[in-house]
Amino acid sequence: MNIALIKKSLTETSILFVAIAIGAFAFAWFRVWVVSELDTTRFQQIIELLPDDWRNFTTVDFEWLVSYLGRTALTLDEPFLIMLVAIFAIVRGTDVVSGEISRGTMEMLLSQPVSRRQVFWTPVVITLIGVLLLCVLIWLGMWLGVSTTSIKESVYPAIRVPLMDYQIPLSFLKPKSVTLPMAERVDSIYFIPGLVNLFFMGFFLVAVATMVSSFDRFRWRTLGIAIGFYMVSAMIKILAMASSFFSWLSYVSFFTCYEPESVIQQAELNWNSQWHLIRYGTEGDWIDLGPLGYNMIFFGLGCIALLIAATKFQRRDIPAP
Amino acid sequence: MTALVATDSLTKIYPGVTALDRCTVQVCTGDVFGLLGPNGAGKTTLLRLLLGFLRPTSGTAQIANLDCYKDRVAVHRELVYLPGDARLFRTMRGRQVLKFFTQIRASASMQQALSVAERLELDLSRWVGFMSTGMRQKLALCVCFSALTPLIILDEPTANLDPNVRGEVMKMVGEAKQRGSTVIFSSHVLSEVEETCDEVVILREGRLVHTQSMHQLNRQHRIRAKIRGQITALPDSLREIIEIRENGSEELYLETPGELSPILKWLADQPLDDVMIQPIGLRAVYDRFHSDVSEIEEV
Repeated sequence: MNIALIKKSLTETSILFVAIAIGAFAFAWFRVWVVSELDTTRFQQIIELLPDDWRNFTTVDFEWLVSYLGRTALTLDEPFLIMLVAIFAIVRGTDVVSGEISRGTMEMLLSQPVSRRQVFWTPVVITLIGVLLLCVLIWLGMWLGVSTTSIKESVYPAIRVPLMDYQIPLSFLKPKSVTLPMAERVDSIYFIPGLVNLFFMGFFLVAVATMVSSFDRFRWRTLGIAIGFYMVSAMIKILAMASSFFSWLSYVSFFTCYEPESVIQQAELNWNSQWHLIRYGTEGDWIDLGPLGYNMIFFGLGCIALLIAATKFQRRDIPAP
Repeated sequence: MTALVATDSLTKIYPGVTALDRCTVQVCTGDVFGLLGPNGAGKTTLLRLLLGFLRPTSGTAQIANLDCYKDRVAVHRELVYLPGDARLFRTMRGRQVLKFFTQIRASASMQQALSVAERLELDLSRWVGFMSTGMRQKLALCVCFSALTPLIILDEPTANLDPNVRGEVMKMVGEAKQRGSTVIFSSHVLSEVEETCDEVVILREGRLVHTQSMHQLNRQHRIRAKIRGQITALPDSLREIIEIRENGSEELYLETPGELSPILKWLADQPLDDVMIQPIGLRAVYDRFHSDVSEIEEV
């Protein structure tokens, strides 16, 4: 690594990073606060009325999804938040090769005694560190939201069964409202697996954007291709979820491997499930990929894309500006 | 003298275009080497192949016995390069650009870069994004001359510069030669090339069509005169090397390939008026190959 290249890359990344970091941190905090404003118990009746088809839109139980942990976990599924991370990954990833070539600065850079490997990997590593920091900041925003907000719950008066640690709710009485810290209902540690999933998706997007960049000489075209890939993947995923006829399409969208609420639910049930490549049912039948499975697909595909990008850049001609 | 730069049948073919065709050149250590040719002749392609930016289709290019493509990092330690269209980081100020490039190259000195900037009267506090083309060119020259390397490659170094700065840059090229550096530069300004180069090559449509030693060219003259009587035949010793062209019966035109003194003796005995003796000059040589395409500036 070359110190001058690292400084240059940090300078170029800093403004975008700060802007996105502030947005992501504030949104995560705000989104958790919004959850505290609505009483979860009211969702129960709505869920019972929802048609079964709607369950296709999530891989977790609706009942868990309306719990406080489920609803706060959905923060990581918010299009705005995902888009912030994707914007950072795509904008910085596309800049690695075609950005420098488009601006005409690649020739001056490569005429110095630095290898193409250094010129390539320095911004890639800085961008990946940026994605990691964004995930940490999102977690901090969510943790702060959980720690600083209170929730109101409707609770029926209950009578305690003598000699047994058991209470019987008296549902024929009028429920009373109680206020308690959200931290009593939500443990922020469970968000970590979801954020790990988000980081690996960011890693994959950086890799894909860099790969496109290494083949191209125009930044605008690289950006267009990378954004198009993101949008098409999103649409394919929605289509696959909406119609059972198109369900096979889910295998061609990278969003299929982004399941933060699912990995958070599994973490709540069994923390060690983070290390499962595949989820098996109670009878040993294959249900879905495990958290590690999702992340490893992102990581594997990302590594392949980066390898292709690095090889291409190592061998390609550098066009005149 | 040993060759610092050597290419052998160097060729670069793009789909449908041969940018450089079997180019073989040698640049001796300490020489100032000029590349001439109109746009699209292959000058920049040759320089970019030397820098390892392009992979040769065939042939080889070596600098200091290192392969320009395979050993490019080692090659870049031996040289500095000024691109034809110098683009620098727009989000940096001039001083930051110099700091960046002097940090990235161990042999470069910030002090040296600053002294070049002072010499070129460049305002380093300005953002690169707000600099004019000429100012960016000056900044790139500061980057170039901040390191003392055996080889300096300049692609049209004086384009976009005013005449005063042009002169200063040519002085710097001369100083680099004095220090023992080898300089390769391409230019459209014949007078600059004539003043500074030891050897010049002329390219046309990707082919090297002529190599000219400037020392030899400086000894060549053309002589024009009006004939007022019967001229005597050339002595045998001169006949083989001098060609006489008579335009009708009134004008004599001849070119001397080298030493002028033998012909002067013969001329003195001839019945001639209005005798004009001129150095042949690079323009005439260039026009032999590019008389139809003239983008060359003669200052």
